Amino acid sequence: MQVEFQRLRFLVVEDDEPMRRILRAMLEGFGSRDVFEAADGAAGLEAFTAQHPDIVVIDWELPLLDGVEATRRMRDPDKSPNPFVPIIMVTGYAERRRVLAARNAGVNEFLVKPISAQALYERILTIVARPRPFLKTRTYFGPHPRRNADPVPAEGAPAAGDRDTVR
Amino acid sequence: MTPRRPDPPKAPRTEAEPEIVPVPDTLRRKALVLRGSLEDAMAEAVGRAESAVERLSVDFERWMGESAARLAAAHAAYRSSPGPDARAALFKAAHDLRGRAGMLGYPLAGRIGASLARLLGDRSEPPADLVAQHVDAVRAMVRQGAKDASDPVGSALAAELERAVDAVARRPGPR
Repeated sequence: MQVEFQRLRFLVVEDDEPMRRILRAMLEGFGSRDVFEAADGAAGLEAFTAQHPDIVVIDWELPLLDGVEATRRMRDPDKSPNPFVPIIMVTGYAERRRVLAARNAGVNEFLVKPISAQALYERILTIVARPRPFLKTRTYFGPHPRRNADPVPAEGAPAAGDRDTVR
Repeated sequence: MTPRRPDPPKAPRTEAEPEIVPVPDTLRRKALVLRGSLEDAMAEAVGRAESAVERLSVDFERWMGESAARLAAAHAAYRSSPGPDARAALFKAAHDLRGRAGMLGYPLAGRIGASLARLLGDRSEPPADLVAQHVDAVRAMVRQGAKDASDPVGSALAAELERAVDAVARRPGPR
């Protein structure tokens, strides 16, 4: 089993140019030929609509629109061109409350900088090979917070206090 | 033995109830192929990615120099006019450093960036001398190439600054 990266289109939304170049180098090293970039959240949303990426890699701290808000808009089931798009958040924040906030916005995977090529590959593999079902509540539309759980959980913040949400 | 009572009938699902939504199998069908060894493919791809990042490493020192300069400039602006905007700009410079430095091979500077971001995020009026010590430490480390735990002086300095921030965090005061 393997992932054919040359068939996948990526969007990297990151305001730090060296980080963008490193992420692009990793993704192209994996084999992707289509890596699009945006330096702020608003440009990221535009590129998301225009380029139809298969996977989004996004930072938290971004000018104009931060990564959490951009994620919420990409997940909007009524307005987004692809509310199911897998989203990997790559950030310097490691605090648990940040992880949970990102989960509650709808990110699939959370990576804390510095990241390794191995860690990024593993997250992409998980997204492609083991896609999680989505959960829809009044306040949330995104990946089910429990990787292997099937039953419908209680209404409310889906990831709060759920140890399975933090890898 | 008491016979088990039958489950009550389930209420019909309403729009307000959580709902499991199956995800389209698009990426699996598009990009997952069931041939070859996953471990071999992953090792090969990760190796290529690491080589690609290594080719960028000629710029790492320059990028770290830019980070340290940006942090110093944000600090100078904060010192001359401490206010929410200047503090936010200094926090952003420290946060960016925390994220960037480890990727560029300067984990010690990343630790100090994280420590400064914590100090600025935790206190509305952080001790000015401690803020300045963080900024000076980052500039010195980048200038002298003190990158990681193999540098005993840099390691001790990073640990000392982290302890100082711990002590500030324990103090009562405005947050």
